[in-house]
Amino acid sequence: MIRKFLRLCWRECVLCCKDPRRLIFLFGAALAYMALFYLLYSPNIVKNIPVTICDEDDSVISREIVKRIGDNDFFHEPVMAATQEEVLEDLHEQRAVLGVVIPRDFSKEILRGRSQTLLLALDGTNLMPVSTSVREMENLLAVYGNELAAQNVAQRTGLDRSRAHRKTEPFRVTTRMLGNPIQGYAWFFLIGLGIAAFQQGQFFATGSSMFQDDPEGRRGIPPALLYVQKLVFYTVAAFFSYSMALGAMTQVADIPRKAPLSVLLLLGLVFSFALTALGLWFASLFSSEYHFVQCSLIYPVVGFILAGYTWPLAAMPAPLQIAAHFLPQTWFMEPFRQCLLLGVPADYWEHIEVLTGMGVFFTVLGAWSCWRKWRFTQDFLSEEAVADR
Amino acid sequence: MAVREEARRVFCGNFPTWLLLIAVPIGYTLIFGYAYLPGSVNHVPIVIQDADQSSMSRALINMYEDAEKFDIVAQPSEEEDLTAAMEKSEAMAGLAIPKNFARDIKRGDVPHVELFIHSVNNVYGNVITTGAWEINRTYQVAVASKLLEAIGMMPSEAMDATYPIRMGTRIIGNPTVAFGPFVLPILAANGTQIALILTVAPLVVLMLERGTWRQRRFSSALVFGSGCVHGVVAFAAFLVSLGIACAVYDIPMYGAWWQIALIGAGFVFFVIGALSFFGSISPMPVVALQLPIFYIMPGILYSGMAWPDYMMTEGAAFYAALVPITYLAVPLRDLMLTGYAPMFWQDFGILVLGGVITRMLAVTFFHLRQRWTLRAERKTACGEVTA
Repeated sequence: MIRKFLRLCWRECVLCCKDPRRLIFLFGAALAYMALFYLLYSPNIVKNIPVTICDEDDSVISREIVKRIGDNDFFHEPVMAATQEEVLEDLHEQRAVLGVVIPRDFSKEILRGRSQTLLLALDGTNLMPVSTSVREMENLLAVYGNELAAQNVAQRTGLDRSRAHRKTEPFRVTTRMLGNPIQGYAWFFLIGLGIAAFQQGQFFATGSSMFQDDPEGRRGIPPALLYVQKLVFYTVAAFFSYSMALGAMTQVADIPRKAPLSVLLLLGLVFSFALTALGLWFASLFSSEYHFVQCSLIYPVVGFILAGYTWPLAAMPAPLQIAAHFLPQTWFMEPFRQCLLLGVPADYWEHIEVLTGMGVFFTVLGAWSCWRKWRFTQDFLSEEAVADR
Repeated sequence: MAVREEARRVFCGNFPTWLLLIAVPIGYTLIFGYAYLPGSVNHVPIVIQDADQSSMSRALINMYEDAEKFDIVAQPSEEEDLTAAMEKSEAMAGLAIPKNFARDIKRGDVPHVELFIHSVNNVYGNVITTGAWEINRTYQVAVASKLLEAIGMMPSEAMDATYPIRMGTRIIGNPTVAFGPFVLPILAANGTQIALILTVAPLVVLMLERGTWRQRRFSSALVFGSGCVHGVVAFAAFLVSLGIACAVYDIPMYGAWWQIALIGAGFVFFVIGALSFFGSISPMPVVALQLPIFYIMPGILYSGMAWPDYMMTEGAAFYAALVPITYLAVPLRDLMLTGYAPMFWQDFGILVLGGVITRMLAVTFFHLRQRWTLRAERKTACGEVTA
């Protein structure tokens, strides 16, 4: 039996070499996507946001604000507009994402002790630069505002500057970012998209194995053994592919690895198992590779979003949360990302158990489905063989 | 006649092609619209460790309690318990108020409050940073104001002195910074794109396999016009998806439908051309389905819908320029959310040009493969005659 099994595995290797698509999708899909998206996200954070400023005040204070905006790495050198209408026109024509209007008498009123409002107008169609712009402007104005406040209070109350500062900024908030300290997008997307591509490549390879297979070559082989051979072969192949992708993430893309390698490898192994079992079962439902590939292509975008990788699962309506829990991707992506960026999550073993359970479940389903499919083929061949005789 | 045959295959074939063309974009819109229905991330679980237990620290905690953005899930007494809760992902944020917080403020010793952010998911990181900043800043201004009142300033005077520069924000196009208007129109377009991949990509290679070109004189027109029925159905489904996004999920539509329809038609035209090209270089229909995953599928992220075009490296910008959805995503969203897309006609022109160029490439490769096939058949026939 073992010799038959090993012979089948060797046959599978030969078929993979004859149909290089399997190897390309198995080992190349994740790496290709990672390279493609590293090219896109290598700048990592959104900077050089185009800004247009209308300074109606033209005072020391307003010019200091303009200077600080220009000195901020997140903003491109501001373009000065003559009027508020010009600022809005720049936003309308998408020459700027952020428009700042400093009203007349801004500085005079502040020095008199009256607070003034600086108008920010933003092109809200793309939320990425909007959130960065708002955050940076809030920080910038808070810092400068505190300096001005301390100065004003010192002048009016006779306190020395540092005491005045302690009154106007009575406490400070220190932020500690756990996981992705600079909120970079390279790590965020490379991890998720690499895994999504790995998954799709695995589906294509297992599908190809189910359909690009010679019925004659299967004759005499028990369907159960054939199924186990495919399951083991492609689980191992997927695991190697996963290891390569993991290596590329940590060694080439410099994504950190906070959890021990064994933790990540075990997670990858059970995910590969669940994925292979799912792929084999799903492929067994179709009569041709063409239709299988058609239907499997619908899944990647849906799976990626429902897994909660970007838009958090907890923020989705309950029915979608429930549906998402039936996808292996949902149970893998979050702990995988956390293992890389933060360390072993507390619910790690729960994810291992669920993925293993999913693998077993899809194995049972797939074995039954494949047995029905191949048994029919074998029966057919048997009849043909009889007719030949 | 070719159009009739294509229509027959789309509507009456064994496999429900028309169903894929309609169901994928509409299904994507319905599912993702539902997923993004909340609009923004709220009720972020936060743990607050209050080592001070003073009225001042409790006032700050009350502000977090009252905020919709946060849900206080625990108030541990030790910082170790706070970090443990975050490591277990029981909370996405943590706030540690130090001992003697109130006393240090009154003394002018400027205590530090620590904010921990579980930033493995950038969406949570951004939401927590913004939400916590607003609460902390509001509280800081309130406390500072009270301190100045204590040294003799009037309340309004103290508030103005503490908070000299206020920020008035006007967000054009998406005033509530909701996620739905940001992504849903483009996901509908992506659904259309995927539906076309599933149905149109193999058409040209199927033409070669079935030998359809042998019976027809004008194979160039055949290849050039392949997928037109699919395109019409996909285009209609695309418009219906956008209609669903507007009617069901309240995505605004400030632009003119004729502009949306025009640019949508250009997009479908270019996508079909690109897929015809992939079909013409694919050895078999399955490969024609699989090849576009390295070109069409990454397009949505390269389109500038999220990662802005001014942040793209030269290589990324070059790649983005080759992808059809780049010329649809941003103008579509602009038209819907603001009623105006500054580059509308340029983008439409590029879509049409892209469709023409890719079709010409498809025709060229189709002709080459025709010639190779005929040459191979002649060689085989000569070999048989010789034998």
